[in-house]
Amino acid sequence: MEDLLFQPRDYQLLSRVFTRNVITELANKGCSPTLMKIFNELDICTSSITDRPLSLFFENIYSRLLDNYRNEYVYKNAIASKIVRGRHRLSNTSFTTEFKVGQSIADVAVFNGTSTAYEIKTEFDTFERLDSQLKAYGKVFDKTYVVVPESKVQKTVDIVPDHVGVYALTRNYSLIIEKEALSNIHLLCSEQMINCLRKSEYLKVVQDNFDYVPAISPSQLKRDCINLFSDLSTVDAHNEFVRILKQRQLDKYEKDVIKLLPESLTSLALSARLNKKLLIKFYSCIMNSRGIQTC
Amino acid sequence: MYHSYLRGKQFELLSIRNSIEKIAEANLIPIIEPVRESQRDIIKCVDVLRDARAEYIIIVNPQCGELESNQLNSDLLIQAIINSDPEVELGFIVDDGTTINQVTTFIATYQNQKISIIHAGRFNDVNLLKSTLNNVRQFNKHIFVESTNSNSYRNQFSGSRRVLIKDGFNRRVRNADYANHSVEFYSDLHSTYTDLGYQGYGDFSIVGDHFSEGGGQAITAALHITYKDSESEIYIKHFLSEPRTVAEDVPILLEEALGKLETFLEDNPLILDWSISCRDLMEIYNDGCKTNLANIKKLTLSHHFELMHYIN
Repeated sequence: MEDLLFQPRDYQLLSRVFTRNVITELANKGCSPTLMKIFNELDICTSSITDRPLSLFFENIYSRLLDNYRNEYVYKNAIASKIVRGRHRLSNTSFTTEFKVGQSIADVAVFNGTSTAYEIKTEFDTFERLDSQLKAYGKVFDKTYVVVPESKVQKTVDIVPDHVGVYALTRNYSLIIEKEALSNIHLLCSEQMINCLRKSEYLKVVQDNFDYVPAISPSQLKRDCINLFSDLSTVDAHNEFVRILKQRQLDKYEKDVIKLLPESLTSLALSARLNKKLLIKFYSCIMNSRGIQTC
Repeated sequence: MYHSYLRGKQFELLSIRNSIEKIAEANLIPIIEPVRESQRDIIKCVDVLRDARAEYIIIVNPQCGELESNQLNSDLLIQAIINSDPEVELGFIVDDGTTINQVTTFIATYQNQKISIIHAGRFNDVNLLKSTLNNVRQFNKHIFVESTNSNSYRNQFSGSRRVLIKDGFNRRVRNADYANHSVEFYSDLHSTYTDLGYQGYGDFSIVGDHFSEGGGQAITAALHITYKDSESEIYIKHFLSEPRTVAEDVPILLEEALGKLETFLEDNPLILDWSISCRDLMEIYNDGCKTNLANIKKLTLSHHFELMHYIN
């Protein structure tokens, strides 16, 4: 495997190794047709990666992506492994990718002591939608960071609003704060916060704070919840918003398993939300030394 | 004789089970194209059809879904269905690419079953097909998908029992697109098929001649309800949730769409006399819309069976 040489377009294909499809297939069947397809297209002979755990294969591909093709997954995973797994040790923290806020989708959202949105702009991205994205995140997140390669740091610092921070993913794969994010709590919008929650979540928040009997009509119920929720101060509303979203975090056992997985899979494992049984199957599948299985 | 051509996804199959009494009573004939590898749902459906002594057809060579060009799993499924209902009628889809060898293999493989031919295109040698079927005792009928072949093609089979399936559903790309066509003509084949020289007719219910796996998050909920307008015409009305740019909880979308159906049913109360499905939909509406879009699909499919039972 180490001696394989890739062309630039191959990396695009290779990056598809880190998708939910691949890990759910491996968890469910112990083999992955999606992975096989990628190998076939790349002309990789699967025998070159037998007899060694698949975990090493994931690490190997990831390091190649780091050196040659830093796509969005590399950035997501840098946040997941360096900030969430490293700094917070996964404790009391909820990590979500693709978090919907109005018509925008935050690449990464982290809820621990507060709420933080991360918008990733890789070297392949433009700043086209950044303005409207940051406006949307500013209505529900205490802190917002834009995460960029070093080459884009100056431009990013120049264009983002005051409260938005900037992280650089450096050549040697560290995440460095180039500009601190400022707290945005006083500008949050309680209706937008409710809109980010599932019905069971906003109903729970409201019932924990108010004496409320749910309306039968679902739209009436939502209007009631928005009205009651907006009676809270923005600080209290945001505390409740973070508290309920933290309840989406994995349990201790799931986190312990994820800490044993190769670092390259941190973001994927945290966001794929495999159930316990599948997580265990996935773990056994990539850690045993039989290597890759054909389907 | 009404035929309902359905792809056998879970909720299509559930709609058949849901409406089984009326299907059997009015001899409505489901034609089911299996699309799932899993046998459980379709076998349950076959059991219910068998127990009700309903007439129905299972297609042995599905052209879409998980069984498309999946000969082994299709064959295993058909075998399981025959085990469940030894008298099941089987359908074979022919089109421009089908060879006579494929047809004779189908006939030879299922010698003990009643069989029909589904024309989803033009078979290239009509005379050869006719002469091949001439000696086949268990052959039942030719079923034509109207949009895929011509009158003159279909008339060449006029000596046999013929069924014309016409897709009355105008599918739109996005649910919101139905807003500009909220009432549309659906079909009048039920009152014209005998004049046209057919022994049966049919449609693709409220799905249309189209197969897709379930989509992503809905931004617009759409209910498609068929009804009889005058003596001889069926119309379809589309009930949509309000236009929006951001996705919303399904119960809220359903409440908006079902609210419009309620208004329609207040203006057309007779529908509630014969449509248990519409009564079920109103019950869901009054109880907070605690359901999913698939269940609503099941009920609107059931409603169409009920309409065909009603006009029969």
